[in-house]
Amino acid sequence: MTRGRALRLARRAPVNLLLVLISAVMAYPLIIMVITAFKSNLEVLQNPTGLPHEPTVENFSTTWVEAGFSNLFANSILLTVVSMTAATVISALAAYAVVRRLTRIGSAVYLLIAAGIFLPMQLALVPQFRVVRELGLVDNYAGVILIYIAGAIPFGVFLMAAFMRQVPAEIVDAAVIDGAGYFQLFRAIFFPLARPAIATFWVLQGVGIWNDYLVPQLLLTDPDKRTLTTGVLYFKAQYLADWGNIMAAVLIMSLPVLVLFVLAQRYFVSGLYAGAVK
Amino acid sequence: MTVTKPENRRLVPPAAAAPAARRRWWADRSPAGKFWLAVAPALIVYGVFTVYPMGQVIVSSFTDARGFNRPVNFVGLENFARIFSGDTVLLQAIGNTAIYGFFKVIVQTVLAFLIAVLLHRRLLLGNVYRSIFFAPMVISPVAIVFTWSFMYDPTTGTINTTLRSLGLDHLAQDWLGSYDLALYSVILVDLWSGLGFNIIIFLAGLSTIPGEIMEAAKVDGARAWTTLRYVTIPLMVPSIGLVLVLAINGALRAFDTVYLMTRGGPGNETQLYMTQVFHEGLVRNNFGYASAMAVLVIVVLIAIAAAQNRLTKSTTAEGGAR
Repeated sequence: MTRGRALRLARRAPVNLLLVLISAVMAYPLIIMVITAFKSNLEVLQNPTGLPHEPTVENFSTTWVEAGFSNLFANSILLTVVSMTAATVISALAAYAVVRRLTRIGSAVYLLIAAGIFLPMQLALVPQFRVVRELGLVDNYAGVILIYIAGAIPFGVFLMAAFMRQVPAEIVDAAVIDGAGYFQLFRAIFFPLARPAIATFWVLQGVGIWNDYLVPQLLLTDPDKRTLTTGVLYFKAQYLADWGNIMAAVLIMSLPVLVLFVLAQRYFVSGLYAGAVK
Repeated sequence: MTVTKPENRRLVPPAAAAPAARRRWWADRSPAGKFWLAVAPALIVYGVFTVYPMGQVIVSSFTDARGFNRPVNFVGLENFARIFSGDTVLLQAIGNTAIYGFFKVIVQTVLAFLIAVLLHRRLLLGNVYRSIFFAPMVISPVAIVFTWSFMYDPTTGTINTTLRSLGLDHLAQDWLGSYDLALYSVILVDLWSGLGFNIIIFLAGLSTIPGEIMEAAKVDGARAWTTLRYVTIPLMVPSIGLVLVLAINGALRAFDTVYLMTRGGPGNETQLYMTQVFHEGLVRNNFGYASAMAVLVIVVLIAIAAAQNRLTKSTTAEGGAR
């Protein structure tokens, strides 16, 4: 018994060894990011590779207080939450509409919206900027939020429509006979049933918005309105090779998504897979 | 921003709704009217901020649009002719994109497949490995690029310092400044950050292979390699096809790492197709020409998407037949 177990472990050893090696290579940049953030500027120069001899949290206080990261943090949260809330409601309504309208127009509207998943939007930044300028929304969060919502709608409609299609017809019929109206049906049945899709949408698209730097870089010039990403870009331009501070800034920016990732890994995985198979 | 949302927020059980008492202004609308009411917010925002700008890109590709407020003339297919008449920087960018694509399509796919096969079995630390492989996907390109920039730094960077402390001074390089190496340094960053996504797709594919097939192969005395070669790989063809299509797609879209890390330099050694489009359009203000380049890549992306769609359709048909 024990011998068989030992034998099995021995047979598996090469596989585990190989995985440990590959994981070590993959984890290396993440480890560097973390340990550098806890080194003083001098120690980064003297000891760039090893563990910190004298760990310090000074970098974090410098970035958080002097570079105003508390403000950047609040801005990023505001932009992400407002954009995602609006995008969720708008996408869910549209998904509901196309799922309940089984005509040629219904599927044409669905295709038009879902096609947006394929568009590389960096290409349209110049005309997008022009639209925002014409609406008088340059340097205004409303412009950034509207672009984020528009960018999120295709994936949102695609994900939620896929879920809403599985609502059994009997439930819908029964509710209609009971006198439920069009929007009541949406609120009481379709929206709650699409919850797993909404969770996936928040996790994936929310992280995309949190991580985006191009739109705020182009549309927001006021330093007080910077987000974490554009703030870190500016910070890097200022501190150049002060890697301890820069890594602390990078860690502050990445920590929320990493925590979210650990908590909601299965939504990431299923969502990425759904987006890929589309 | 106005959101057309029903005002009524209370959750009324459908049975309790008394139609006459709570008549709303949309209650009389036909099914078509309600449909348009529900899709209107999405269509308006998407139309104004995605469809219209994309339309402008397409229109501009036939003009000599430059900068923001200058007169625009139609020039027909001149921009497209220019693309195919040997713009040397663009040619270099296309060549770089091809090299980049090779690594993404071949190297990344093979690596991801092997790792997925290893991860698929029940392992002691399976979840830890998974987290390590998947984590780079969620980190911002800004964070990824700064971390790697520090590692690549020629004097204080971790890679060169490690090499020097191992006595391998001659291997220490200016990873991002060298004309020969910069492109491969950039590719390594994107291999690192993109690997997890392919592993996910392969793991999903592997989980659809029935356990009995593997058992049968084992009972028949097939070795691990034989099973992989004659059972796993043939059954994984759909997933492999999907990953290849996505890799080509990703290579054409690749943008962030080059834009943030090297800006296409040194020279144009790391310029990729998408960063070159951006450079022409936003830095050099050749918006018409950049739009033509953009239209070209969109056509290719649509063709790839169509091919992918076919692929998934045939995959699901296969799955149904099994």
